[in-house]
Amino acid sequence: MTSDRISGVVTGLIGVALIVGASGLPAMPGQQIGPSIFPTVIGAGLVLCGFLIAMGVGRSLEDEEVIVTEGDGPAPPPPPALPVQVLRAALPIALLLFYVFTIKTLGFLIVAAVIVLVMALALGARPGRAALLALVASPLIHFIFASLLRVPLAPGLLPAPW
Amino acid sequence: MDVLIDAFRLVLQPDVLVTILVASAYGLVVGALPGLSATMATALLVPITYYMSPIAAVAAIISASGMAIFAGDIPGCLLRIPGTPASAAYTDEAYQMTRKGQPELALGICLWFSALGGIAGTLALSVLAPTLAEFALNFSTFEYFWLAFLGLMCATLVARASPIKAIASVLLGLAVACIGVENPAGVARFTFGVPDLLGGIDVIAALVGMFAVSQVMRAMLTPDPPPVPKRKFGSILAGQIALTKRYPVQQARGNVVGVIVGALPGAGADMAAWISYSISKRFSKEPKKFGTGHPEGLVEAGASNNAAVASAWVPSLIFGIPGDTITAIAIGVLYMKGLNPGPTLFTSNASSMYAIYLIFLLANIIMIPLGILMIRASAQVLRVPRAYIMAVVLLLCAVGTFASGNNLFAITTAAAFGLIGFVMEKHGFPVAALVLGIVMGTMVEQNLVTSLIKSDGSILPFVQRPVSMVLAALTISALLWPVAAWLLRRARGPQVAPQG
Repeated sequence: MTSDRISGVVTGLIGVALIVGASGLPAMPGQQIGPSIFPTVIGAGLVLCGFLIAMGVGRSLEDEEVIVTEGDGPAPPPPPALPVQVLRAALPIALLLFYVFTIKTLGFLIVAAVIVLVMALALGARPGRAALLALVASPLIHFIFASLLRVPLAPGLLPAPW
Repeated sequence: MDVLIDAFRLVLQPDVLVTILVASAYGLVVGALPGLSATMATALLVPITYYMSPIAAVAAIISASGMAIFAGDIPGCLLRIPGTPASAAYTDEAYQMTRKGQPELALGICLWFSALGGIAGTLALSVLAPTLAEFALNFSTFEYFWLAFLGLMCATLVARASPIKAIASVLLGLAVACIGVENPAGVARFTFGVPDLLGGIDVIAALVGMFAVSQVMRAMLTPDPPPVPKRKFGSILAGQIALTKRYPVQQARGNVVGVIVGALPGAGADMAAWISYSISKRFSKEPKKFGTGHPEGLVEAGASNNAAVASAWVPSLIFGIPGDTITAIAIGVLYMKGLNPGPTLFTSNASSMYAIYLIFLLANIIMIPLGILMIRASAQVLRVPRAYIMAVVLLLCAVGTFASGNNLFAITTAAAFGLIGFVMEKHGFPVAALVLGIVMGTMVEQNLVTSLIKSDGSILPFVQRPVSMVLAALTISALLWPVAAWLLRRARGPQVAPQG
């Protein structure tokens, strides 16, 4: 199976990278056991595993995908095209990075509301309800973490009034 | 006796009691929502435990995880969607009972035998842990190395995936643990010049990424679960006493198997449920009824998985080796709160140990009333659209990981591990094995390197002490088991269909 070829090769390459990276580590003076031994052993193991995975060994032991179907409900809609799927799966990651890069300037209340709004809309919530959720969830979570737990959430453009 | 009184005093603090109640309610709700697992509930709880007293923090983890494991049965029973992996083994059975018009009986079994199983697991924990601790006082780095290695191997055996991919996952986890200066030599490894990586990968951020962020990513690609039909439940506990009298052997066997599987380093509640369900089917007088809404397997598997939740704490408390992903998180919390796991915990911190047992008992007792409330409220809770839940979960991922160190880099870590977890799962690599690798990496390396230095690079002392010899034999047979199974299958000829 091609998926196994790819994941096997990637696993092996990570192993090689570990061995190469470990070989550049300084030795401990007067000791033959240094910081490189553990990564080297792991790297060798990964190369071996990668080879076996690429060869398809152990494939037969894998569980078949458990498909959870609802017996009485209507059939699920067909999945969207692959690029759309990739974009949809990447959205949560993008939103987390959005948080990291804008929190200092925009502040928690705005960033949090944007994340909740975008996620809810992307998962098919009605716009009005998604907006309402964003307006409630953002201050509520700010209150729990900033006021009760004293986590320093950045105020940014819109400091919380409490 | 003084210790026990001290323990009661520790547990009966108002903050601890309130924590148990709130964390239980939280665990019930999160566990009942399809797609939010018990591990995820626990991981998202950790940042909040930073701000609690040590006993309250441990109480929060214990009550939330136990309740979440039970509550995972609710959507399994009503919608045929297991709320947590630990429920997956008997979801079909429970759903068939619902279709036969017995949802009360099915949910009642899950609740009643979960609570009893949890109590049995707690008793086993309180008996096993001190005995093992005394034994473990004599362990040297050689034994610890094998024990940690054995735990990692168990994680690959039980992963229900290709064993080679599971081993690769463990190795990748160990590789992640190499990052930073936390190694015996104190050299910065694989930091790529990024100062944030010097301290190593933040385990909590990685966990939140792999169990919560990747779950949100998956939700983006899967259709909404069907709505729960509104229904009035009859009495939940009616008939449970009769079932307890009817299946005493199954219940006891479930408890014992659960305790054993849970106490194995690396194997947890989901594996216990799978094993117990198949044992129940094999030894049943009426195996044909399994899968058609027959309570027998449900009794045994339900008794098993909650027993495993408690006994998974045995290796965690004594060796610092997690029994499953939940205790992997709990170990982090124990260290943070100064309750460092180890055989000396019983002498240095005996009252805290007794407090942990008491919390387990308390949590399993209040599981029955709270669980009944949750079952009755499930129609409402399961009606909350997934879009709202996942949106708030993603925000909590960001805030929670940030709060664990007031560090924005942790959120980037969570995002990265969300992607890693998502991709690995797509390709059939078990994520739980990766987590155990990350959590145990430092310990494995420390004991390996110390042992190697003591033995002057020789392998022989690793197998010279009697206990280490036994542990080594166990580890190597665990490692070779997949090879043996594969050879056996080949020897039997190609006509053997792959197992289902």
